[in-house]
Amino acid sequence: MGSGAMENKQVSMSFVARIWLEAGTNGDPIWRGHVRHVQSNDEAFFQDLGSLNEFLAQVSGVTGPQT
Amino acid sequence: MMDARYVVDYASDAAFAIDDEQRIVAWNYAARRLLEYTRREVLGRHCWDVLQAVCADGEPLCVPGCVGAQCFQHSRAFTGPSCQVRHKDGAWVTLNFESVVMPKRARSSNAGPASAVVFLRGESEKNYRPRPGQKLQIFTFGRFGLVAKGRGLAIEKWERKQAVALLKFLVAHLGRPVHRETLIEFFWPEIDEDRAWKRLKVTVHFLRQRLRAAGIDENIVETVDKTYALRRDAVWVDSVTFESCVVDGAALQRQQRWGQALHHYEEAQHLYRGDYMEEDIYADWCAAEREQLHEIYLEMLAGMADCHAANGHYAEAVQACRTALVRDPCRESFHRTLMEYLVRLGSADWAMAQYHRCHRLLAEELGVEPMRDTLRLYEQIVERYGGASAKKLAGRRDE
Repeated sequence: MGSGAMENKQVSMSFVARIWLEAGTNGDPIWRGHVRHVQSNDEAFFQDLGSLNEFLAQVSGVTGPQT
Repeated sequence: MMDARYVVDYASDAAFAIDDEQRIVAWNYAARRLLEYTRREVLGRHCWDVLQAVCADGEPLCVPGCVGAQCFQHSRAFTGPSCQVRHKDGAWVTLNFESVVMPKRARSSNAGPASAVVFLRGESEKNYRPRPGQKLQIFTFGRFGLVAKGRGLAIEKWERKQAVALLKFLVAHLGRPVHRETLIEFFWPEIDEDRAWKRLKVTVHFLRQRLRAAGIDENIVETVDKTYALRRDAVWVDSVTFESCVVDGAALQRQQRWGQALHHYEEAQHLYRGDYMEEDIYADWCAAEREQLHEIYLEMLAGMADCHAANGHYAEAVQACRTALVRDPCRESFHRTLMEYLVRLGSADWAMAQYHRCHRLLAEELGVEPMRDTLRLYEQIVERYGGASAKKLAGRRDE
């Protein structure tokens, strides 16, 4: 197989995120999350989409849309 | 009065004694010879956790609040069916259970905490007669395993590893037909369709052959048109039972039936031996299911903690919170409830230390401060117990 074919081959990456609500009796509840890159088992916690995006970009090498 | 522990010690059969909470309080030498566990390894543990017995019809016998425990509660002896019990090395041993219940009068004296003595009687292999129509048991939490007719299948020795992988894939799609093209694309993406289709047929044939050899109906893997499915009604899967235990437990908890809810939660906890399909941590086909079950497990631990606390058992409630935090250290609600239960236990210094742990973890992982509720709880603890507890805390930090 030539290098061209390799370059054209699609690389699949999977991420699984869990998002939960930290509810408080006083003050606003907060959404927090955990994301895991399945193929490497790298993981991170996040509280805003910017941090999630940063992790996705860091693991995949692809910069996603700006949030 | 006769102490049950003497009965255990002097019995010629393997025997052990349990208390009202199904914790082992005596374990004799014959039991050690039979299952290899030393007395020290089992005393204080739940009998269901040690024995893990499975009936010949495929249903687990050893669960919290099992049939035996219910008999003992009503002062009735229990004679168990032929079943498989876990040896310390993981192998299965075929046994029968017999028992003696300690009369309540005897127990009210100084005869020890034992409520019953259970005898384990070995059954020779030639006498073991599995019944037809039994379910294949599939263990998906932690290490993947199969039990057919009460016997563990040595799947690690199967010549075709793809057969195990195929079965896992069908388990993850339990009861739902999977098109053969999906399987081919997943297992043999690099070869042409005809060859891949032949490999799939050979793999399915091998899997059915192995199941048949273990005494399981090979048709549990159904073929309809161009699809394959694992029949839901023909198998017992730990993750399915886990979910139903949690649902039942939550329903009982809503009715404030704390003890009954805990029985269901403990059974669920017993089943959750590790993450779903743990050996396939880098595979994406089971990743979503794993995370979902993980989340259900955390919810269940929160329920367990609440039920224990409602019963005034704060040490157990603390334990449930700690187990949850090992699994998910950034779940702030668990930090907060743990702090509350530690205060109830009289360990305000530990509650304060927990706040600092929470603060550090959130800073490291999320770059945030604890929520206002958590900070307020900490301040209340400091205000109320601060002087003495701070000194104790400082002392522990110095050690």
